[in-house]
Amino acid sequence: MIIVTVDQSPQEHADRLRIFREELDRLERQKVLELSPEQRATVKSYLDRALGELAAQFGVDTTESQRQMSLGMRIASALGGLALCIALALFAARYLGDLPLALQTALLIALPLILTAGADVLSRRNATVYYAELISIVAFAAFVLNLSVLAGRFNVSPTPNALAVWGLFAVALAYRFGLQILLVAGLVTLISWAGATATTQRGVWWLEVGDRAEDFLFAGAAVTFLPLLIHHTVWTRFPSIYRIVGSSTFFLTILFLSITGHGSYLPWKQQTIERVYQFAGLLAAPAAIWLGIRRDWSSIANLGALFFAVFLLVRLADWWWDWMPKYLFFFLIGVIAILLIMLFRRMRGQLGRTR
Amino acid sequence: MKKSLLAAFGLILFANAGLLLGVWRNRSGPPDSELRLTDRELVFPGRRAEDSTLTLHLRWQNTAPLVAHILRGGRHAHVPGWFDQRKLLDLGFDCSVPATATEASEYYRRSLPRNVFVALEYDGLAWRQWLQDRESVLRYQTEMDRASIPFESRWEDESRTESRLVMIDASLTPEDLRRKHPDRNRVIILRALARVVVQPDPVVSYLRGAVTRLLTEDLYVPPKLGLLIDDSRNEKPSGYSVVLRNGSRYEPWIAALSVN
Repeated sequence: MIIVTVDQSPQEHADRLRIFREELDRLERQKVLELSPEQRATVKSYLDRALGELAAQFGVDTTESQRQMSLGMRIASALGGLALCIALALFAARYLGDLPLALQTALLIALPLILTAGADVLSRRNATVYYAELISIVAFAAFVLNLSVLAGRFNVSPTPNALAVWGLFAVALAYRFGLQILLVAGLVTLISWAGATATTQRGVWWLEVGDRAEDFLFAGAAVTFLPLLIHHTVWTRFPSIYRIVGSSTFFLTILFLSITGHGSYLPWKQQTIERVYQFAGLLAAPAAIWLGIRRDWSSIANLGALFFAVFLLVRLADWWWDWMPKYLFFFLIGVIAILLIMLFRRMRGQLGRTR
Repeated sequence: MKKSLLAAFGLILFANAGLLLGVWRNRSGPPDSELRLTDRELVFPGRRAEDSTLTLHLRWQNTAPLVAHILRGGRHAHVPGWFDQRKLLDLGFDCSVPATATEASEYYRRSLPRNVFVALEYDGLAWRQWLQDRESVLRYQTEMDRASIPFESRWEDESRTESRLVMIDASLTPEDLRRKHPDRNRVIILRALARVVVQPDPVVSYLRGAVTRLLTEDLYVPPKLGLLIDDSRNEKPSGYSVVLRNGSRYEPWIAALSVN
């Protein structure tokens, strides 16, 4: 029986075993390590058995070619799920309205229930997650269709609370089957709900949420740090998804406000608000790089570097584009990029020394 | 992981139960209002290709539009007496910057719409007043655009085809509106969005309210009633009348439909 340690997913465990086997072969070929035939047979038998059991139990990839194929299958299942969602919505629009209202209601409620149950059955029958992923995406779409169409049938006023239910549903499916794509969908929906609810609390129509973008700053920051409160023992890649979704929301909001201060709560002139957020972006991005390096959150460090470059580029275009010769502008961008690479290399070197 | 699956099932059932309970609460008990409207007020927009759902669009006269018609001498038509600054304050809008201040335009452009309740009167005094106001607008527009259809023809056309459902009031609570407009067969109360507008004026600019939309404007027609509309369109196009009921949650629905 293979024991999966709590700090790594089955795939990570399989990857480590595969790399260990490759390194062992290399060391033996280079005569750095010499195992007796019995020792070699014992290690080989252990590795084969461990990888075999991981593949049977969790459907993990045990070779590099399998890993590459898996990525293709993952993309195919996501695209297939998306296509089925569109097919479902179009089919419902075409035929559902012809049925009696009671039957429409029953079908709309039953569909997400059946699809969720189907995804669970498929995940139990197949070690691989692809079928479950595909059906889960369709189940999520069916639930969105369920509430939105039913609300339309009974002329119910739109409310942001539907976003909360959809978000929680996507997160529940993500945790059931270990699906990163549904975790992203769920977190984005929950962030939208948080922003819309904050807007409603101020007596303002919830769909105007984009006109007061600061609500997304707090929601994005909250999602970024949520994994500090939730300990992930099974789906060990989920914390980095939280951080990517949360910090992307945070930085995109700052970027939006730095370009159009119109959508801010701050009671200042539009230009002043834009300047404040331009400055905030140029401060927050390096702070994210520092935090990412300090806490070993590579996603945060990378996003910080990306947004630092974006903020800088937007600023430089704003300052220089109109009056500077275009060849000089792009030359300076290239020089700044080289300087940034040097800076990040130095930071990486320092990081290597501190480890 | 089993808990996650149970949570997913629970969310589907909980959300649907909540939605249907809300519908039941809205439609049970005596309706807040019941109006008999015609195809002038509930417009059939036609069936869309590959869409089996049929809705009727609620058409109403907005006496507090976002952009007012300008008449000769810079006067504004359709600027209501009822949606003035006092009403805006009653609805909780911030009117702290005077309309004449230089920053007023920017300040109120950034203010956001709020949820309010509005009262719409069917075929009453407000409709006759609207027609009267419309007369001066049409006269002015006909004068400006000489090649257009004559005034008499336009006037006749509008008084025969325009919606007779006219907005007359707004409040934060539906109870307040019902107290002021108790006729439940003539006045319907619905949810809407309102915002502040700075109205430029040659004499002195002022603040007024504007209703930007009703939250429920497209009303679902059950398939059985939808067939009647289809029949009425197929051979000799004829009008229809609709019984529109409004429930305790101010979510209206089509209770009956008959072809003329």
